[in-house]
Amino acid sequence: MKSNIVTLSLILALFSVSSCEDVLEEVPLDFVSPENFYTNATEARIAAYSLYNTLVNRNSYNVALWKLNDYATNALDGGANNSNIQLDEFTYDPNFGELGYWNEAYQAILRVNIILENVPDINMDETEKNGILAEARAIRAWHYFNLIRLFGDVPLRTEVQITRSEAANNPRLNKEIIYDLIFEDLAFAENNLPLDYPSSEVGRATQGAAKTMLAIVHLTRGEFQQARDKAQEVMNLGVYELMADYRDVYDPDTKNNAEHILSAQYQKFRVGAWFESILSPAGSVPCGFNQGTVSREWYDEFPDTYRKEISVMTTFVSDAGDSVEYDRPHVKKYIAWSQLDRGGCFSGENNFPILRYAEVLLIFAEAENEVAGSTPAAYEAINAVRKRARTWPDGTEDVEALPDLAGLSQDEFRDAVYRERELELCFEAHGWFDLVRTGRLIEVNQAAGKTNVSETHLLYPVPQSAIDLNTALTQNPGYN
Amino acid sequence: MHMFNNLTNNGWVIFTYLWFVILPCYGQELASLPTDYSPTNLQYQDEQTATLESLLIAYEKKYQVSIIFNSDEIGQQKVSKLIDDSSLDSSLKSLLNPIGLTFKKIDDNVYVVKRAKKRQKSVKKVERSRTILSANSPPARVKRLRANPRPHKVEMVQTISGRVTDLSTDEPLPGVNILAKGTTTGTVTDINGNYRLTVADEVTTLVFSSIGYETLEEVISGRSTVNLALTPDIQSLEEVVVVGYGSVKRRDLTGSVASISSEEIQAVPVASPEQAIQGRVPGVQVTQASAAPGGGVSIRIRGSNSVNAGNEPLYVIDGFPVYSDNTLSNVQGRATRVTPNALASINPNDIESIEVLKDASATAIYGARGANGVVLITTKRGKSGRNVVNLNSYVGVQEVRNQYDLLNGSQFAEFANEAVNNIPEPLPPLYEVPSAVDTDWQNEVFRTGVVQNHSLSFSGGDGNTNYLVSGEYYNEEGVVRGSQFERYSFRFNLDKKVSERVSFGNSLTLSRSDNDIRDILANTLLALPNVPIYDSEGNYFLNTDPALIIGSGSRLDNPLAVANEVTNELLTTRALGNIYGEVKILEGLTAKVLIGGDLIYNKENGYTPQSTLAGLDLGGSAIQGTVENISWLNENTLNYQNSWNEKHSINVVVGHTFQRQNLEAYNLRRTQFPTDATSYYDISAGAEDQNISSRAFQFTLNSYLGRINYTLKDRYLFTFTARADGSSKFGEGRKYGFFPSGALAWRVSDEPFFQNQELLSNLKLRTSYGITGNQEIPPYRSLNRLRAGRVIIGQEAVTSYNPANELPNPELGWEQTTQFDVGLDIGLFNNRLNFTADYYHKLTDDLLFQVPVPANTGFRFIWENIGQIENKGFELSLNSNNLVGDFRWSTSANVSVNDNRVIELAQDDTQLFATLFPNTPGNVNNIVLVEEGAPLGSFYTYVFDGIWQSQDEIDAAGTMPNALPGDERYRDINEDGVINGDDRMITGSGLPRILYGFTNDFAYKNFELSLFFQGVAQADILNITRQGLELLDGDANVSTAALDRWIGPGTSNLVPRATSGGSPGPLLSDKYIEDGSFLRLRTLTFAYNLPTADLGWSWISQARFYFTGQNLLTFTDYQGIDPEVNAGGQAQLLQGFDQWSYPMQKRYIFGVNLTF
Repeated sequence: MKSNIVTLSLILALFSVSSCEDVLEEVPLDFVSPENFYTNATEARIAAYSLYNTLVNRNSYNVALWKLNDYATNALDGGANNSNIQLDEFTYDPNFGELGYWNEAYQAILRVNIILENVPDINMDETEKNGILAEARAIRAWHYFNLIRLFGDVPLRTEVQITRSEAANNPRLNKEIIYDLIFEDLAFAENNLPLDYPSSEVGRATQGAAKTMLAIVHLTRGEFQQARDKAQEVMNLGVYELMADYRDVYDPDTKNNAEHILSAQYQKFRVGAWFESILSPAGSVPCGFNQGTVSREWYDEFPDTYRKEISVMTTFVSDAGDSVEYDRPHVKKYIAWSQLDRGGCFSGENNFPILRYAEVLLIFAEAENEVAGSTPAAYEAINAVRKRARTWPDGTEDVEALPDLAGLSQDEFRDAVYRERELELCFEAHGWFDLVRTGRLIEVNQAAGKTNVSETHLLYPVPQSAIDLNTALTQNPGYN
Repeated sequence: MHMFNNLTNNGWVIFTYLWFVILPCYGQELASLPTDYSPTNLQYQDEQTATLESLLIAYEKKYQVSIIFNSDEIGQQKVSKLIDDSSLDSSLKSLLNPIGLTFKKIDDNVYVVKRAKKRQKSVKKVERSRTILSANSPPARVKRLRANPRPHKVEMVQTISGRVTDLSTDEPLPGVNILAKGTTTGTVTDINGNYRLTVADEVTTLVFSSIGYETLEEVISGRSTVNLALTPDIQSLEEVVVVGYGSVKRRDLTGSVASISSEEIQAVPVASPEQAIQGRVPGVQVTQASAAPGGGVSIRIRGSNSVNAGNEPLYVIDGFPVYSDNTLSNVQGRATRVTPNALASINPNDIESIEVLKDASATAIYGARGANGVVLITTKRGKSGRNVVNLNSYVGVQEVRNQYDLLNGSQFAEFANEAVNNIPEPLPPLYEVPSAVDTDWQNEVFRTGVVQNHSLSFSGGDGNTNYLVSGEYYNEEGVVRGSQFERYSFRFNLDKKVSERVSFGNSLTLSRSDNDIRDILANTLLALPNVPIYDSEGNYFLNTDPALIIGSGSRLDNPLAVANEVTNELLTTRALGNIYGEVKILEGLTAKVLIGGDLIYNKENGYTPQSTLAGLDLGGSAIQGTVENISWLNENTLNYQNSWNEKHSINVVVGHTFQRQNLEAYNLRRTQFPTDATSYYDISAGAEDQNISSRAFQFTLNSYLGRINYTLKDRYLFTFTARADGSSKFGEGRKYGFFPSGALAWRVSDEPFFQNQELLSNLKLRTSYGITGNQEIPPYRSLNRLRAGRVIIGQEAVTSYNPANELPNPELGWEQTTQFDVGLDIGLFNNRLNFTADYYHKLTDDLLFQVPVPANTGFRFIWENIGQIENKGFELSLNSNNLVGDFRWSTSANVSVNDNRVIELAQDDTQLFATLFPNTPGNVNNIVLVEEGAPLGSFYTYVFDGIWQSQDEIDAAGTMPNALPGDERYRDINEDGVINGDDRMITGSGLPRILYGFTNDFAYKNFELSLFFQGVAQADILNITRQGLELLDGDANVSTAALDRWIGPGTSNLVPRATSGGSPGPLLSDKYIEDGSFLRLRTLTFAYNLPTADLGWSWISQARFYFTGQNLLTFTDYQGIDPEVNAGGQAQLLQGFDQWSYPMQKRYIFGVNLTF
């Protein structure tokens, strides 16, 4: 009898196919699901934090952006490193390995678009909510701006959802359309971002950052009046000032100081800076990669000031007094003096400056000069930068090497600003941008003996890997 | 009797409990069943009485026994049939006792009914003998003694004894079944081949049978001693083949199933069971993902079906399905070329047989996981009647098969000086020429390693309780210093028959392994030859001179320091086992419950001390991590078998299975240790908390399965199989898949019209068609995911949530493979020559494809069901007993050809790039292409076209304006006047087309010689190691090809100039695609069997001494260390890559195998 019950039970059990979907439901364990995230102010803030990875990653300011900029000048030498030499000598092609910013920027844009789609529905303080939306749009604008500068026309993405076939046929749009988005984003950002953050939130984009971005975008487009005005607005905010000691701009102990407007934020062990290891010579920091070889001519012509002492070197003297001599000059400004005891390669403590007040002063000087000539306001701005540059910590000044400027024609003043930017902002991912913007890329590099440089190099090639996957993409002229 | 009833009842309780409690989903439905529901199946319910004979015959059928009685004398008595029928014993007792009869059980399945003796209380002990009737055999036809007018008396017997030997070797044969023909009385031979059997007088013939031997009938003719020699049957059709959820005789197989016996497995001393399959089975490709000790293996059965989902077969170890994903045992979750092997915890000595299920008929019972084929591993179990002790022990040495030819110290110094001079702003010479130091790092790092294995097992049983326990120790020192694999394993298999109806048992293996991993081939080959091993103080020389840091700036560590000083070990503790309970519900109907678990605990320990460059930079670096990977299984199956009218035979299996896997892992890492003394043991001694991470996942499979085997007239065989699988990995509403298959076979040689010939002893035609599936992708791919990341805000690390780099696909569903197979089995000359041929055609649809999406989406991949792949091919295998007698020679050979082709991709794509290969030197992007019409995972490269000899040549061609004389030239494939991405083409495929293997076994008296060759033809290898060793930038040592480098016009058209950079770097071209075909003598074994019987040593039944050489000869044109290489491991798209792979070794082993 028992056997019969069991038999029947077995057969029933086997064939009564009831809903067993429940046991197969996937429960997220080590990740969160966007469908039930973005529910409150804290989660909106966490979402905003995701924007900043895209500034600190290897293919962003940590490595790629300064490489693309600073080897393409007469300042940094390619040394004996193949990819650096290709940048230095303008022999790269679409397979070149340092074009990863393309991917990085679009990853950033995706994160912005996710925030713009999800955060508006969160029930939270409207000011903070708009601040987060503004922050996201400022970051999106900045990445699009970098993309345009590096590659010219690029695909536009303002929504999260996309099918693969759409993505694979996503053509490059005229950069003017993208500039429209940039201006729209930055206008929203400057109106909704806070002036500053509590110390626990330092590092996020501020109103000053949005205005500085606008100033640079306008300057790049030759819209000098608007560039001047935006720079003036930043100066009028009363938030920023030059650090008295040039070394403090880079020293980890004084990071996020009054001169910093937007920086890529690093911390040893957690999110380590790579540029220090790569640019510093062996024997200086624990893991120097010797890739910051500076052209001898450029080094010799660097005015002999405190700023030169901090920026470049031929001899490294540690705080303990040990010294190492090098055959060739090297980059010095990123040596994290106060934090040399860190753990290994690629674990630097210093921040990478993206926007800083010295640049705002120089933008103002340049734009003012273009709009109204070398006015006293223009001189005041550039001379503030020069005075800080020549002042040693003990207060002595190398006035002879770097005197205050005066009595220059508009053209002379323009050249003086260009030169000042070259020295003040060296190795800070400005070199190639500035040379292209001011139409001097070919001239300056040919003067340095780099015969390959041509019109082609006013844009970088679209990465071959991107064209492989998105057949609607065309290559920039000269790279085919 | 009472005790049996109790046990039986308890068995029911436990069994019912399992069904109710463990069956997911059904608990409620079962609980609502009325408890008094009691169907009946006795057909003569309405009558109160019957004849004793009719009842006894009914019992014979019901319980599959013979009941011997005198039908004239007692058979016609009328008896009441309202008796306790809960068991045969109680039925007989209550039936016979009231009418003055009693019964005696003289064998497991034989009862004798006789008149009760009044004073007899104790049953006289009957000499134990064993019936050949196994539980699975169809009921034997019982000859009754009713025609005999005399009352049957069991005392009328004859006793026969004798010895059974092997005809070819003269050795005694233990375990031979001997059956008195026409009865169920029988016995088996003992360890020395002797038997003694008491049978009824009427018996005239004895039937001798043993697996692996031809069955022989011998007429007794009044003899009391019958000695006999059995002829070995090379491929016995009576051989039982394990298939999913059951077993069948080979003659009844409808599917394509290959078996490997324990003898074949033990013939190749290997560390891990999958390696034993290599070259043995047609259509099965086994490649070492890593030749490192404990390294991984990758298997492809009948080609590659899938792009990104797993392509490895499903392993079923004693009924427990395991997908061998080597990356899961990797604690760090990082790609390593020394992939730990997920199956390396199984002792090959414990394996009874390996069955490889290839076609849909065989694999469909594993439905969702059957598409890549199934490998069933059955471990040894105790056999009745024998207590056997087996010791298998071997010791050997191994050494590298081959080395690269690299520059010596002076050659390198000269070359590197030239490289830094050949740049736009030349550097002064870096090194002195000639070099005072000349270090051969390969000689320093490679060594001769010792391999040893000791395995001891005890097994036996009395028919009711059978056991096997074994223990094993394996230790392999790798040919790279510091690499080692050590394993302890224990096994306990038990089968207990509680009663006629209830049995239970278990399989359990516990193992612990310690794998010291050294992934240092790149470091060893690239290390500068002009630096010393030790500095002046006797410490390891570390190259910290700032002046020598050029190029990429990555400094090369001292490889010997890394080999000797670094700790990098993976410890694996694994318990894999199951318990089962089996109940015979009705005649022919059996229910089985199996509960199993696979508990894997991996621990990784690492420490890099300051005596290495890496450790010096980091101030010492420690890692600890674990992966806890636990899989639970519950299977409930019903098996029904019956036959009737001598024409129809049926076997049905239905069941439900539920499997759930949980993985949890964590990982700790710190640097900056004040001292190396505490190694990784005290991680808190390092600086601050850094890099702490953890991860977890869960997945579930819920399945219903069924199979019907139907045999008509013993020669028309039909199999229908279906399985419905639900997997949690797929999207809502897409989780369940249905996988049916059907097969039929025709044993032509059993047809009456075939009986009048001698040539063909077996001819069978088989065909099958069915659908199987694949679900081996990571979980959660249908979900939108945000993953925690770190970012510095407020000068502190905070958590952000970032979108995963994969677009979610809620529509994600099953990948399906439809397979057609047609096969032919032929046996000639009484099966001395056997031949099997199969043709198959597989179409895989809805491929689980991790498609790269354009970066402008912000995502990198999406998992989609797109495309179609075809695999078709044929397999031939041959077994031949060439010579028998004193000098024996047998040959087995197999060959298979597989053609793989991508039929179509997504609608608007004709080609898609595969995931990039990480860490590839040079400017290498998108080197693997999936294109319609081409084999899966084709190499997509530029085409090498010599060396630019002069600037004039460069200017004239104009295709590579930035090149300089001495740079590599590439062909302008599309002839558009410029070299760019459009000039790449498919230049090779890493999928081998032809696989083959052949074995020749020779024996003369007590000596044996076995030669096993294995080969691969029509295969390409992309030799990225060689590309790295011909990258002439002066950063690192290079191969001697550099001696022929271009130094001026006309000096070389093959090897470019030495330069640290300046022109677009060398592109990946077909220059590094090589022919990977090879033929190798995989094993050579020479053995001597001590004639223990002749020596009169009855205490030992076997003593075998052997020498085995592995990989002694290899014939290949491949330029790398070894053509058997697969740096991509199990990753389908990265097959045929050689990238700094751990070097393959030659092995020399001496061993002994003793059986007591």
